[in-house]
Amino acid sequence: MTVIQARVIHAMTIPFTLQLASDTASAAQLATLIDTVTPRVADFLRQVETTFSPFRSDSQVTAARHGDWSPLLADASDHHLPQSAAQGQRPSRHAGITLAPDGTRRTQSAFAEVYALMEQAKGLTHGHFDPMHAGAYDPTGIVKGWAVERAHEQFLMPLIKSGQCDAAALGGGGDIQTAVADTSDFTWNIGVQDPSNPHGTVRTVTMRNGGIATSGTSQRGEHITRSTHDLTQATVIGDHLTFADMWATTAISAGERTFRELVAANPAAQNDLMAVFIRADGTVSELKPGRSTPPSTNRPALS
Amino acid sequence: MKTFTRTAIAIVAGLAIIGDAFLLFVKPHLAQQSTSTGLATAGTESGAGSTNSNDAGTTDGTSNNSDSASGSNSADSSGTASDSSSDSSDSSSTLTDGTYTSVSTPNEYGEIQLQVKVSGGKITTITTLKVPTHGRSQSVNAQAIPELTERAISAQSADIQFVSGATETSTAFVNSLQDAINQALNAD
Repeated sequence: MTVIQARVIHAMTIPFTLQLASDTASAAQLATLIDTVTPRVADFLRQVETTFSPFRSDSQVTAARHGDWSPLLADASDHHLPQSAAQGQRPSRHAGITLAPDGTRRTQSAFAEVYALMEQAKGLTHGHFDPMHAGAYDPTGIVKGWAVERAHEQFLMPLIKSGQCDAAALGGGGDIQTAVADTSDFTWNIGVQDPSNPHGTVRTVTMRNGGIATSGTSQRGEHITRSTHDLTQATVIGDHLTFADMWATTAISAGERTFRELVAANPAAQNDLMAVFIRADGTVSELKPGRSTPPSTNRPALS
Repeated sequence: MKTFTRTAIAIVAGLAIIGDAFLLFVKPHLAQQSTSTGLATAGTESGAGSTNSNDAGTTDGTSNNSDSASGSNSADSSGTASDSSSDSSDSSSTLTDGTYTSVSTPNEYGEIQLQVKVSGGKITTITTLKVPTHGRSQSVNAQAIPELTERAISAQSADIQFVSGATETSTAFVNSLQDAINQALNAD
């Protein structure tokens, strides 16, 4: 009997939901575990807000908007954000480096990492995803998904790897990163919100390890410049939430047809992405991964 | 007439193949070599077959005067940062002059490097450098646990744990679908 515990964290003016599942533990044991990890995730998310909020006068994004880009070169271990994220277990996978002219190496700052991601997203989407909004640097569109993916990786994955739980997911504002231990049969079922009915869903996405993000016309905090208005809502599913989020925003900005063309022209995206679109007329359409998958994986046809 | 049509199709197809080959094999290497190719929204209409969109973008500070110059090899061709007149905040610590290279860990879409030029203790240029992935096989990164990607989209809701939507805010959370699901899970 699988038990699941859920906790809610309010940060960045968004409710984040954290869930842990276990095939063997009791609800009480799982509650103890989740109450241990929840404050750490909350701290991380609030530090992300401190660093990246364009609405805070003391954030690094605000500094950059005033011409001070020095956070790009800051050593991560000097500054608030990755300090607590690190605590001896920052995954090597994301330990970027900054090489100074004098040859010294520093840990890349989160600010620089996000800046690079924004630039990469701009290139990948042929400018439909743009780090500049109304003439000012605005990483808002990528920070939430990025923060959820990093928090999931740094605080929840260790619980799975150490066997303390069998599955863990973190979501906020429609962006969710999930994972399941490969020894468990658990799957995450995620409803795609019906934009016309607050208590309804239009599709259910079944997934184990991956990210799912939804972008829509009514979403707050997303500064999207739109070239077309044929989509009301776009949900994108991929291996990594940061990019799923970026692609979902792109779909709203570029429209369904251009989005499909962008994905078709990019082998990595075509191989990875699935999507559910709600069109302006209320009809639902889907995007399936482009290439046939190896026999070891199981991607049933859309029903 | 039939022959003419066939010839026309053959020519078009031939040109398309040559174009694709250029985008796939030649352009990425050009992009890799040149430190700055100006504007990020490079007008390659069809990036078909190419993993990357081949543009080393340039972003400057508050003003957006990216120059869409040709792919000259000079990192100096990019815009200058920190030209805002209302610039009040100086960084507290003085930066050593020279070029800093900031390298993120590669992801499934490639690798991004930032080259930040400091002159007179201030950042003058930020150049984004895109290093294309070599071949498609790298598109899947090894994660901490194996990617057992079992995904499906089905028509209706059974037991869901999360809702992915575009409207969720803290003020609207109470009585939301996600709120109800969370409470039901904890009550089990």
